[in-house]
Amino acid sequence: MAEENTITLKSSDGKEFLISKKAATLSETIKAMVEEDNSSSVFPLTVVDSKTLADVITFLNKHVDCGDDDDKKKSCDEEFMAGKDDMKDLFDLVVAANYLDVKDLLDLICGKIADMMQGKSPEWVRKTFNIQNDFSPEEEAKVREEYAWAHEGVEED
Amino acid sequence: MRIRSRGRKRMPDVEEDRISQLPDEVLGRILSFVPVEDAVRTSILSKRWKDIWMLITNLDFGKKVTNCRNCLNFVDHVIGCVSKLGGFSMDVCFHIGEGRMTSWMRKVLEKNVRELTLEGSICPRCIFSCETLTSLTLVCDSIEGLPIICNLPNLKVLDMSIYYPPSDLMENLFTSCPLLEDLTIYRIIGNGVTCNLLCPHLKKLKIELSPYEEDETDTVCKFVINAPNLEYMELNNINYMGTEELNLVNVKSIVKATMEMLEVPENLMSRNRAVELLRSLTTVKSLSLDFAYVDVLYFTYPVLPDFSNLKHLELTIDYYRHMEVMAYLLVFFPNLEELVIRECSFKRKTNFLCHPSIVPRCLSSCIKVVQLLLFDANMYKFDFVKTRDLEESMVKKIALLCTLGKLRMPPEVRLSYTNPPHILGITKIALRCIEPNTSSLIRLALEAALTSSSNTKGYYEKVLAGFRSGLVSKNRLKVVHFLLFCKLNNSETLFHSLNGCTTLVELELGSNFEFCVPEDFVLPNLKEVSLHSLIIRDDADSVNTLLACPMLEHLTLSACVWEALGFLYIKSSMLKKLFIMLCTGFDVLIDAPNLEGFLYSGNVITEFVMNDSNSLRSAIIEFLYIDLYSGNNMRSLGPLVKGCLSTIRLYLSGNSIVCLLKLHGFEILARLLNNAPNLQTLTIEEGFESCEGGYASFESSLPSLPDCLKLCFKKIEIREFKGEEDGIKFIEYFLKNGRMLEEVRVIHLPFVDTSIFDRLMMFPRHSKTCEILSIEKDSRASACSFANWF
Repeated sequence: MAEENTITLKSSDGKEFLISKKAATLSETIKAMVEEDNSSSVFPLTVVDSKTLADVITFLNKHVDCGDDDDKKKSCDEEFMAGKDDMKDLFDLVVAANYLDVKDLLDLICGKIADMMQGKSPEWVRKTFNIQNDFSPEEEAKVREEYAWAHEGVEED
Repeated sequence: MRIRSRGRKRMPDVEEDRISQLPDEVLGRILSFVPVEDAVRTSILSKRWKDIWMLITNLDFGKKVTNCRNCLNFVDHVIGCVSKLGGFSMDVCFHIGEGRMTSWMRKVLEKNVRELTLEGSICPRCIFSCETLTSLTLVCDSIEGLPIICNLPNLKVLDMSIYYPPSDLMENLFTSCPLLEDLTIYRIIGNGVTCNLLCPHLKKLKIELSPYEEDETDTVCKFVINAPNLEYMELNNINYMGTEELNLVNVKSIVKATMEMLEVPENLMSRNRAVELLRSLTTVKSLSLDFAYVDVLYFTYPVLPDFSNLKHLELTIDYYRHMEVMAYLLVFFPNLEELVIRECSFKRKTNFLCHPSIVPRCLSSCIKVVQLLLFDANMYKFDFVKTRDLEESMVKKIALLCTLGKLRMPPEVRLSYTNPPHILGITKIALRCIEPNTSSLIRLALEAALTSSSNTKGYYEKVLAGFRSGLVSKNRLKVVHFLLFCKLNNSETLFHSLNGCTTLVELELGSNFEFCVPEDFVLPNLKEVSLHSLIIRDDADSVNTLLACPMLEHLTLSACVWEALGFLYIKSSMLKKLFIMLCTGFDVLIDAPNLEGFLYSGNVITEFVMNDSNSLRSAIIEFLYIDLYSGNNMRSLGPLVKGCLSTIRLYLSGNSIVCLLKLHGFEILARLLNNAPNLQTLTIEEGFESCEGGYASFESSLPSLPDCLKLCFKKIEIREFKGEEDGIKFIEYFLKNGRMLEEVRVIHLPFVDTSIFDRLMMFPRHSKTCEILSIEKDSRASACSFANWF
């Protein structure tokens, strides 16, 4: 019984995680893997490390528990995101969510990253996310000119 | 690049540009969460980002779009660039112009938009025809012009607020969205419009209409709701003054309905319509009706079908007007489990409540929760702010009372009245609505602020008179507990009212009135009496009269003032528990051969004699204050303790020990053990430091082993242990000699050196089964526990 309803996910650094099939298949990628290979019970995820995979599994389990209750999901998501401020963790998660194709998780993390960018000047965004400006001053001025309206009234941070 | 790679070595995680490495579609998704201009601004971050924003699938322009050239060009450009569009949202400014807005919307619709939100003064008609749209939110001042073609085959959520929408729109819109699941309509629908809600998939419906403007009262609009799968319906401000007509043609799945009328309709036809509407909701599990709706039912007293699914009901009522109709309505809700009542009191009516002839089934079997919410209590004449809590609890109680009458087998109910001006009325309700011969156990409590001059009009006397006529003489109520805390002018009415009540088991009286029990007073089943802060003047005859009640087992006197001469003679062969707390200035003689529990807590007893107390099981003696100089109150302690020596469990407070040792030296403890043949448990608070003779005099006074240590002594507990050497020796004695000893428990103060307990552990123990427990005193341990003592 237990074996039929659970599968093992193996992280890039070789750690194994037991998870219910129901929770795991919230990920479209894993769902496709399981459907393709019905005989295996261990699925290696070569691009997700164990720390991130543990987080993803927490999320999946919570969402399975919530069922269709949107209010419950919302509070679960808030709980899940609480304290997740480390930029590296967020990017690891967003890459994993994208790879595993978990739409709810992807939206959640993208929303969080979006919150950091909202209402901020390009200079602030560059600094925060370490984006190297590879435009020449002339090129930058040209692009800025093109969308001048979007730059109106942005406060310098 | 060189600089960056050096930085990497220092702080690898912080310096890395992770975000630019994300796939395009993830970046597009991130930017879809921010307002459009924020997304577009990312184009100058770097070359990587230049065109990323064009991947966004959600355009949220918010309120920022104006008719400046830059802005209009910007919107044009953005709408043109974006290839896939999931959502679009804009607050539309009037100056943008209908033409431009329409051209924008056409482009947006072409991009297969699914969710559309438009607010403002322009609403292009083309939006009513879009195959991909699943969600539409419209807040719009008006739609004018040509007839509208409606075709929204995939629309599931529609939230619209339009002033005077064109009638062709309202007639055709809803039939053109066959998949509609969630519909919200706000504001005015007028001009003789018929809204045909033929929506087979509709699950949620909310209609909230604004009041008509005065010159528009002639408009009539009609809703025909044919929605077989409708589950949630909320109708707000539905005005039945002949202006709307609401027909529920086919609603067989409704689970939850909230009905709110703006005003009570004056004409009969509209009232009947409201009743009809209610009749068609028989499937609901949860129903909420506002004040006006309840008022309609109050005027019509309709016969309703059984709402057999209804579990949760919320009503906003006026207590003085609607209690009766509420009781009436409950008959139609046989399986009701939760009743929430909001109060909305407008007028006083003196005729409170009728006695219902039918008992609603839900009250006798199903109901679990009655919740009462105070809604508007400003109508009370006295200062509401100061008495809010009292008032609230009182209002709750009124409703409880009113339902109580219809409960067949209710749980024990405690009725507390707190507000004098209302007590009279409430008691009347209570008397009227409680059924004869009810088997209810009722605890009746009358309480009032002690300082108030609340008795100036003799309220309590009147209440008590009512109590007598209603409860006692007719024996209608099984009051088991009666509590009165108020200032009575005299206690004659009180005892007159209570006299002879056969059901009364517990009586609690306070406060500050002169306590005078008539000689012929008797309560045949009274078991427990508590007297708090009473003034006793008549040589304790009153207490004795009470004690003469044949079943009385438990007497508590707390903070009573003795103004009589002589002493309190407590003589009763039935009495099992006697608690005397904080009473001052009188001698006590106790003759209670069957007394099992005794508690004394206070300061002064001039003389204390206890006779024949061989059945005593637990005794607690707690001196609160010792007058070491005069020693006035100390001498009485010896006889007090002596009177308790036959007990099985004995507690002596720290002050009691100090006092005993001061007067008699350590040997008093030896005498205590010698004369307490039944003692099994001794609990004391340490006070050994005050003893002059020291431990030696204890052991020398015990030439032979006391009987209790030989035969029955099981447990010694020392509280507040300070590590005194005499105390250690005292414990050692018990360990060495207690043949039946099971437990030594020491609750020590935090500063005590714990090595003492290692010493205790090493002492020889006569009883092999004896345990030694040492516990550091904390707030929990300091709360004296006398579990199972009484």
